[in-house]
Amino acid sequence: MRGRGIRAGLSVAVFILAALLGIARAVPGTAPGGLTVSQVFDPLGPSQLEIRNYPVAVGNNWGGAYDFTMSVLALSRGDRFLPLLAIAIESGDGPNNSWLAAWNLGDDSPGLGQRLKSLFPGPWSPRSDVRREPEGNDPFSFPRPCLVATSRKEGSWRRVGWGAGRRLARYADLFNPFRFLLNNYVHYHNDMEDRKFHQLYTLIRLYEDAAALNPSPEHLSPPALVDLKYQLLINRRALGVLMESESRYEVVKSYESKLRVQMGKAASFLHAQANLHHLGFQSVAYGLPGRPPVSHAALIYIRKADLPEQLPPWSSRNVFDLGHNPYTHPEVRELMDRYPEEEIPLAFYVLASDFNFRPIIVADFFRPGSVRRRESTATVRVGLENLLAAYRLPLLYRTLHRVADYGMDKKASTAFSDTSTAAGVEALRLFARLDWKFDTDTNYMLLRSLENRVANPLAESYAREASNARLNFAQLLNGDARQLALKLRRLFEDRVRDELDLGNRAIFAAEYRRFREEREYQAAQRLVEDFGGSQFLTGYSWDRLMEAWEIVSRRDPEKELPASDRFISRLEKLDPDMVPEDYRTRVAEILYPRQYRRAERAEVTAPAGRVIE
Amino acid sequence: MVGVCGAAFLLILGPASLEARVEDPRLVLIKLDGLPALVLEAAIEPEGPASERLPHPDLFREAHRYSRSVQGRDILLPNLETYFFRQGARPQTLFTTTLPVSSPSWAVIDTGQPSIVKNNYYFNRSSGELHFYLDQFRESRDTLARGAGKTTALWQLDLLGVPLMLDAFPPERTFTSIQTLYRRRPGDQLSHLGAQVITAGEAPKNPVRVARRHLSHTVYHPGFPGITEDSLAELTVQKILEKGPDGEDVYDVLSVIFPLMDHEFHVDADYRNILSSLVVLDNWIGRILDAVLESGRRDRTLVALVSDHGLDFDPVRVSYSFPITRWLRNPLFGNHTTLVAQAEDYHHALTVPIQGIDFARVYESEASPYGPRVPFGEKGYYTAFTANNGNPRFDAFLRNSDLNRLHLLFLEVLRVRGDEEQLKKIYAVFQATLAEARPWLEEELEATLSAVVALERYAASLARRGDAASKDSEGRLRRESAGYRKVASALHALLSLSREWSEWLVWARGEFRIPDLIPKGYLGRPNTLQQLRGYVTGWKETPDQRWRGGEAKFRRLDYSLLFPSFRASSPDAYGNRFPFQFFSFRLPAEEVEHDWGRSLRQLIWLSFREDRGQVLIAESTAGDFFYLPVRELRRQGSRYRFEMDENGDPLLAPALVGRWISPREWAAENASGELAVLPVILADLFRDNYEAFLEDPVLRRRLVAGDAKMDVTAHLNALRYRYRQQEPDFRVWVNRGWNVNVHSHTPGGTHGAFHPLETLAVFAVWAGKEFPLKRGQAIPGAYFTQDIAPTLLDAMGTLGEGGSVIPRLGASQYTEFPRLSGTVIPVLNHPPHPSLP
Repeated sequence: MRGRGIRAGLSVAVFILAALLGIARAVPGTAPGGLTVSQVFDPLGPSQLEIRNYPVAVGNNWGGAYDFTMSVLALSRGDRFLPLLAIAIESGDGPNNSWLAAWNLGDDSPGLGQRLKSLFPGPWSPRSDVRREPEGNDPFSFPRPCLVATSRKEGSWRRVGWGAGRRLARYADLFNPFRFLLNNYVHYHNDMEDRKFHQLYTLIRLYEDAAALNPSPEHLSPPALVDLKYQLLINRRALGVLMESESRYEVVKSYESKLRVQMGKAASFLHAQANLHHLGFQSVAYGLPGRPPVSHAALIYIRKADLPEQLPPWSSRNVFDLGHNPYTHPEVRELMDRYPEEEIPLAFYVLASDFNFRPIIVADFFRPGSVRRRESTATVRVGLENLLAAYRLPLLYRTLHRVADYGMDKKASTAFSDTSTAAGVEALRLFARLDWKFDTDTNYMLLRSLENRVANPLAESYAREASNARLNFAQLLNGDARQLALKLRRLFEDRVRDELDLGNRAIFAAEYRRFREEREYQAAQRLVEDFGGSQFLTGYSWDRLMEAWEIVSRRDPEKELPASDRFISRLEKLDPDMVPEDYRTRVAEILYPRQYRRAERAEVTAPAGRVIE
Repeated sequence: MVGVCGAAFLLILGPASLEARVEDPRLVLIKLDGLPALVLEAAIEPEGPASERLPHPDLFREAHRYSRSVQGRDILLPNLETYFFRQGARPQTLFTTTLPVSSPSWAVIDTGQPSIVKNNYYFNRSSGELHFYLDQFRESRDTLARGAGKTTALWQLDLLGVPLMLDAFPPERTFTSIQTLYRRRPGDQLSHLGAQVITAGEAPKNPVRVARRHLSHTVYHPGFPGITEDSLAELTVQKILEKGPDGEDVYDVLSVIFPLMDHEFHVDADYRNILSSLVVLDNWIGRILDAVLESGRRDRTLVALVSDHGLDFDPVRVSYSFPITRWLRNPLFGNHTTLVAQAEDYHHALTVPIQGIDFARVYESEASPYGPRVPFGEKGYYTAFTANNGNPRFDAFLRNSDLNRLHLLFLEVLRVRGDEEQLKKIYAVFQATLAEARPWLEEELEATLSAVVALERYAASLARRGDAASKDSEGRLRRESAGYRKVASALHALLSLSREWSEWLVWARGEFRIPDLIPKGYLGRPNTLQQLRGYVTGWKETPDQRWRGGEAKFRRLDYSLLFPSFRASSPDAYGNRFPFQFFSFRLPAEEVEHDWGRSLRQLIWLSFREDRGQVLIAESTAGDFFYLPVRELRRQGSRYRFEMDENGDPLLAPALVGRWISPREWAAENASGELAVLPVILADLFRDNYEAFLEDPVLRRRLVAGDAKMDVTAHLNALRYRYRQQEPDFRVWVNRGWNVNVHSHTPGGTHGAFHPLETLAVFAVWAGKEFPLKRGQAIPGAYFTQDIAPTLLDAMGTLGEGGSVIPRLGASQYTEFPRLSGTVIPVLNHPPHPSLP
């Protein structure tokens, strides 16, 4: 019953949205009820996101081949195949493989025109011209990965560079208009990076969910996915260059948990406010079936039958950010009178935002221009602040600015706010691009509405992102993926050179073997160090621990390394009851090697088992 | 000279007492706030039966595999599993005895007595005094500033002479971390935490690393609970290993609380997050156990793991908030001006600079009939307070409906004081109303005055003692009695208003202030069910029409009907538009017409939505329950009547309908039911447990020992009055998927209702070799959290016959303990090991 209600409701939304976007003219005479039949909530049904793994073999210097995998997350429905994310995987490390590079396939570098535009604040729209397909086998058209395993903190360093540039410009007291232009560019650039981050992060989470639904050893392993996410996260901040000792999983978990908390709080806030105003709230969860949602959106609707006789007061600065009063708006009233039992959608929101509680309105069905205007106020604010930053302001104005800033932040003012709306908007743009949850028409309209929340000339429109994806994917696999193979070989060999400190030397079988051994040793050493340094039981199986100890002690037979020393000390301290019987002999051998060896020699005549005692 | 004597004293007694101390077994109590027993069991054994009782078990198992993979662990919780599940002992089923929210639950565990602390708030409906027990900022500040470490919740217990389990041990050999009930000033913990925050967990001698760590924290913002509790785990390790000047252990008892899990479930109940937090907790516990094993008393130490309650949660659905205080200001719910313990939206309040540092405030209803929008109305006249904190229930404290009527009439007098004809009509209504209210108002006045006198006298006797603890208690008593004094004076003025028309008219035309007759913040006696079924919320007519015809009519609300039948415009995550599950009220048993066959201690009425029916739960004086589904409880004359509902079973426990059953049997028979321990919890919550302590001779002896001249009866009556002021009018529970919120939005799990996820608590012990522990066993049977104190005291050798407590030498706070009524959970093989006391 409820499902039917919301379907009908959405049809009304579509009708209104269509009318407002001028599409209703194409379907003259369509009544809200008339669209009900064709509207289906969540037409996608079971997810058709799939991961395709392409083996990439590339010859090495000693006549063999490196084996890599290009793992591609794509939407596959009927004959439609839309690639989204590509991850190059090095599969040589057993079950826990590792990544070499990642591509958000919808991505493209901004052109000169876009960059010039971004020097000035304005009501910009994302770039929407159709991307030209390169002719022939253009060696320069290979898509640039967003993340590369060999330069892990590239994004952070870039931010450090821009930040330093801004500071320098400030302290050098350069020609003021230059600072204005620079600040504008940095603002748009950072905003674009943030948008790319959210898109890529959402794609990685979808990859993770798709991999969990259809597990395969060829997919990128969970620890490697955590590492990928970690790299993305630390590259968001300039101070990411300082990150070294934090647990990767802790950083990733902390971010994802905060995102969920924020979305949950925004949902609860909006739901509570809707009830207080006698409006309806419908949560829309985005994610793969059977998996926790990746992102949340919400629909606010009104239903005449739910309204009390005495309506609560409605403020123009309402918590819903609606540009109209739904109780008195003539079109809403007319629809309510005609369909008193129907749920009439008022607005659509994304719940992931950087505000406390406040969701981001992305479609106001009865005043669609208000969303664009709200985003424009942010542009005005940024432009004004950059302009003011170009002048030396008296203390009084600076103080006033601080006070106003604090007040606006505390009151979660969404107009004239410089708080980014990218988090939820970018995730939803992606889902709408994939035709998720709604039918194609609704998603198309949603996409157009969402573009109003992207006032950045460096950004790409949804249409361009889709064409980028196809082109980038084609370029990756172009010419039997020869360029890709070379790129991966270079990345992998760079990693080998880096880890073995080989400078620019070529890699041959010996180096490769050493690299593998080094990898194995490092993993074992981590385990031994972790066990030795811990003041609690670590959760490693004794099998793994003993195996790791074997590897470490092969390199350190005299037990001189601090890690070996700590490992032995820890074993000594350990309560004997904690050691399973099967491993007591081995532990005794580690702790008392001389006695053990002596006993071993004597074992020829002694009964078995006495050694341990 | 003193030094020489002291040295001689030590020489003579020192070795003997030192020897005695070394012999004493040690207790380490690790409290895990809000850890659901089912989640812990499932995390230890993901393929076991406990995981099937969790929401979305497949997701849980997948999250478990994922967590092991990304954390590189073969065993996810090695410390908890090894120490408490393989080497320790635990009851198979342990239900919370009282409301599963922190303050009452911990109070029951810490005392082993029925709940005196009934909520997370102290609210006094007479004086308007309000405290939030979980406000660690204020509580810590006060315990530090007053020089007598005592929290507000502990004051509640101390007044009645209800000791903590830890009071059986010498205070200087006891370490407790900051929690709702503790005596020790938290200096150690605060300074350790301060150091941890400043150094970000790095060695202070390396400032570069400290700075680097701080800067990297700005990239991913680690959670504050994690930092504080990491510091606490470290401090606990230090305290366990701390040695006195003679090389002996300093502490015999340590009690530390880790609120991490409660917090994580509330904000983000995603399984990956929960399991990751459990891993962190497991590491802390491992560190503590490691220290125990390293210490000299490893074989004589018992470590107990306790959680106060669990949480009900759904990892993929949001729990939606019903902002009750805002709704109470709405005309649909009575236009109440509401008192709130914290800002309703602290994130958006300019006056709350730091989350958690806040103060109580009054929110005016725009349509309040007593507020500034009506002629002669005033700000600050709140008529409702709700005790709730993001959980699925609330206690409602509403101003007595008679006071509302009188207040409305006073406002009318002021409005029409020039019109004698209208005044005459008002006079008639006023006299009738006052006559109706007079009996309880007079009783109230008398009780208030007696309380003022008795509390002042007690305060004076404490002032003579001069020590810090007495000074602190004196201050508390004087503040409380000052509040009652104001109320007594107003009630006296109200009851002295003339009944004669001519004198009344002179008064009405003279200068009078309503706060002098009905003080702000005074809610009066709790409403009767009749009053709640016709609660006065204002006038029906507009002012110009009010006295035109005959008598003006009051606008009334039936709260017993309103809550269960209220339908929200937005459904919850399960599609349910009805937020409220049931309305509950304690009926005067003597007024209900029914032959129960036993003498009753109390009778609780639950009103569900119309299609689910109503329930009566009777508790006999012996503590047994009777569950009776009924149809429409109605008032006829001075009696309540009802019909039995043969087919009704709102508690979903058909086997338990219509028969007397003990709480333990009930819990055992209905252990997996959704509302499993509802009667046990409701009975404890509604019961005036303070009465049993007021009757206990231990308290009388204690009072007389403190002051031989004390009028004990008057003092006990004053205490009775004080505890009665904490009684709400009614209690309401919401359905799963909703929570009742004031100041924030809690999207994750909730607790405070009856689902096994929230009522099943953790209790597991690990002990050194000298304890005859039933290692690796889950003790069958249903137990309650009230059994934890006797079990631990028994293991420590401080439990005597019949639940009596034998304090250890040097326990200074209490020398005599009221008997414990719980049973000892047989985690030890009795008789104890001969070397144990």
